[in-house]
Amino acid sequence: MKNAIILHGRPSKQQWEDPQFPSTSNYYWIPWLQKQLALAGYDVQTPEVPNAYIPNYAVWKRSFEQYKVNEQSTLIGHSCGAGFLVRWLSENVDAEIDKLLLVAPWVDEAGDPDNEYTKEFMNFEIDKTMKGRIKTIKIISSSNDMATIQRSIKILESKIDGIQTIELVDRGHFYDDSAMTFPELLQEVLAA
Amino acid sequence: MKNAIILHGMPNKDEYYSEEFSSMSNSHWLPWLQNQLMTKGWRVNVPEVFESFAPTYQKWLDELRRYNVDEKTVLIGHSCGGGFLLRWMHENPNVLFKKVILVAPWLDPDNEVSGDMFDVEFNIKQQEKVVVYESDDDFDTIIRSVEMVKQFMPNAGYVEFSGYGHFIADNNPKMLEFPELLEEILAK
Repeated sequence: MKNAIILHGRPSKQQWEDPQFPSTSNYYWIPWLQKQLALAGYDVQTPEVPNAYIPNYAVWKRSFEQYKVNEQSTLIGHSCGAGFLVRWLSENVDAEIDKLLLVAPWVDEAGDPDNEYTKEFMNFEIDKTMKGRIKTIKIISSSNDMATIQRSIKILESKIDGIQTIELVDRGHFYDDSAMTFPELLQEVLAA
Repeated sequence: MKNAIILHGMPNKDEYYSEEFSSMSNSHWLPWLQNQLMTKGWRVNVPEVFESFAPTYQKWLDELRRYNVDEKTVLIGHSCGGGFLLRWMHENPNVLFKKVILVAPWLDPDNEVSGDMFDVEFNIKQQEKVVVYESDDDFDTIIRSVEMVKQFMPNAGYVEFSGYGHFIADNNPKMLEFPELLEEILAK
């Protein structure tokens, strides 16, 4: 059965604490994409990481590993969630999946200086050869995203063999009111 | 850590495959409730049951089993998700949990779509930890389900609402939030 896991990024503490600001797994394009993939027959989960404003890798790992991945899985991560997936796949060398889609991925510890959690989260060896067990690895980037994301993309492009990047124009961090839907991402998930 | 699991109900197949409707885990008061509890420091999981229009006990169980359930867990089930929790308590009489809240639980009284999901002689052990929400203008099939529940679970708490329908937000945006339920979850 085709299945997908959509992993959100790291909200600001202020957003996370605001009862008017939706939970991170329930906002912007995530619920939209979940529904679109359900329409296409996918089993889709959108985990919610506890205290997601803190990039505590152990907590993210525990949360993510409640879900199973297999060779029919598409894993989609946004920002810190994309960075998490790169680390998890680098450390779990037996994991074989269909697609890895990294939306505005973040793996650059310099983007959050002096945060011990971030330092630890980003402290891992990227598996250069992960393409051998993942059919498609793509980054979806935005031309005007933050500098730390642009640096992250450079790092990933230089360290993962066979990774491709699709650059979209002026889409910020895919994390604002203009990002309530995301047709280009849907197309990448559904592409043969 | 205080934690909650919120289980959605059964959409019909047209809703499941319609662009007009959100995923079940993103519908009605569920996302609001998740957010309210999280901002109060709770860990909250709201799984999405695959092909939930064709319910089985196993489908909901597969989702519930992902998560740790302990003496601090509050389980909330809406409609078919509430019926599922009844079966789950029946199958697991000694399981640890803090509270179970069943919002308009459905037991498919005419056995139209749920196969053998509710085909047991219900025997619920921890009734005093269960609260059932009902509304006077809910669907007939829910009202009859709640009548059945009252027979085999007389020691649960029952809260009757007036004019809340099936506690869904279709044509009733008021049900995008559910403060009474939040209060019930937060109560000691």
